[in-house]
Amino acid sequence: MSLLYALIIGVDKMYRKKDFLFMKVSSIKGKSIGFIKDIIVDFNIGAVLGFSITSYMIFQPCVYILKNNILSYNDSMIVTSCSKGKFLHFTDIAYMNIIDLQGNIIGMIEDIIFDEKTFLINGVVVSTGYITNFLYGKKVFLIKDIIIGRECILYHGNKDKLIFSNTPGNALNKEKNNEEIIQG
Amino acid sequence: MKKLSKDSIRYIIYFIVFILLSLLIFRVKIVKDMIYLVFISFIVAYVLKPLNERLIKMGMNRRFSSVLLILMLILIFVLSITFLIPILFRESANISDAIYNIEMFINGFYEKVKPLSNNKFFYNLLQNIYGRINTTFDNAFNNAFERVLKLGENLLSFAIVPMIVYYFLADAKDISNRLFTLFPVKSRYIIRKIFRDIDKILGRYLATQVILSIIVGILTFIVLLVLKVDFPLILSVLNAFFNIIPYFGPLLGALPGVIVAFLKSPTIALWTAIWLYLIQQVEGNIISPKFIGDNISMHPLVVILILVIGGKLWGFFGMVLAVPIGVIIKVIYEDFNYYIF
Repeated sequence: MSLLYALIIGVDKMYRKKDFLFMKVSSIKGKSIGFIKDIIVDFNIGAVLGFSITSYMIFQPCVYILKNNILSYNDSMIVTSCSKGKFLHFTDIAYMNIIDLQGNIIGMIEDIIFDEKTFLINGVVVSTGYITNFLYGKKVFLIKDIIIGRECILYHGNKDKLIFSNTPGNALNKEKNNEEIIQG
Repeated sequence: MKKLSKDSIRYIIYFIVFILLSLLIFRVKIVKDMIYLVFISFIVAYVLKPLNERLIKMGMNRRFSSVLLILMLILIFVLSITFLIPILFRESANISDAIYNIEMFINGFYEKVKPLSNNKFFYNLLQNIYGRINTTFDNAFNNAFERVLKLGENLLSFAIVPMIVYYFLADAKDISNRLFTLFPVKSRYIIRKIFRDIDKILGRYLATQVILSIIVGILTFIVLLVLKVDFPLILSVLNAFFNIIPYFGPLLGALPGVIVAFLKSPTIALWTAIWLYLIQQVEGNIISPKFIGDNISMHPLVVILILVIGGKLWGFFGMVLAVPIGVIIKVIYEDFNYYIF
């Protein structure tokens, strides 16, 4: 149940893409390396591996920052080292169609929700469309219910079970909103 | 009749205040001038801000570093006037020759295609084109002249700009804190966050655009000097200035250079075009994506479309302002999309 509340209320224990995007990255010596451009993910183990960055250095571009190399982050991130390699970017799968077992399109992946400490992905935020988002809300799928394919993403969750969704509430009046949800 | 609820009365009052404010801003000349002044100072301060922060990081007092920056700005301004203007005048004395040459070139072309003018359609077409070119040239020069005159008239009010910039730099925190009190307490946190996000993206975009423009200007100057094209200074300044506009800017900026080079000889024009193109390629494909491309994360198609809209609305300045305004709108939408859910 705590997961449900966390997903709906947005308790600070989980991160989304926006919490890291454009964050400044500096080395341990205080030299600024670049800024975060994207998240690298592994859906096989269901975790965020690290971040892809835009490097300020022209000749020795350092492209990725892995989770183990991150020392701390708040407004900016401090890392011990950065690495090269080939990883799956989140933008590669963002805006892919999600289909259910019958082949109906449910929506598009828009964002991921991952844990603060372990960086394990809890779920994905699914946008249903620019306008329907605001009318009916975004859906939230658990990571174990989806399979990433080449062209689309398969959702094989049991529809009779809980389905999370997120409807725009009174965003400016967060405290009141929380109370209502808890009472309800 | 149904009584108006408290809410609707409040909204009506908001609406009336909004209309009055916008009338005040767009109709009253004094307010308009003031806002224009503050806007220009804000842009200057915003471009200088990263430099200021860096100086402070090096251990300087905020006020001192702000004064230093303003003095530097004034120094550069004065230096450029004392050194550049005479050169510009010397160069522009030759401009009339160049224009004469262009006219001769067009005339020559006209003579060449004259046999076609037996055909009435072609005759009309040629007359039309010839007239158009002449009026465009006349208009451009008259406009430029008028702009310079107007600038001179407003010199006094522009003298205030450095002072406003100083206060924007030195007391940025206080001013922004006061401005935030305009918003209700409940929404202030989110609005502050939205402003921070805009600042994150826009600040970097502006600073890098300025740096890139300077780089392109210097490189263009060197190329034009080596190729011995006339008026290297004016042309490179023009190219640097136009470089602020993505996609269309480099083309518009390089065109005058190539035309002037063409007066000398077609081969030089070709070389100029090739070199300017190379500079653009290096800037556009190697330096700029490092800073900008990933920064605004907007699809080129969208950028081109908003550039066209900006150009149609406010001409050149619309094109300069189009991308920053587009970025602001995009960030606001994205933040709403994030915070509302």
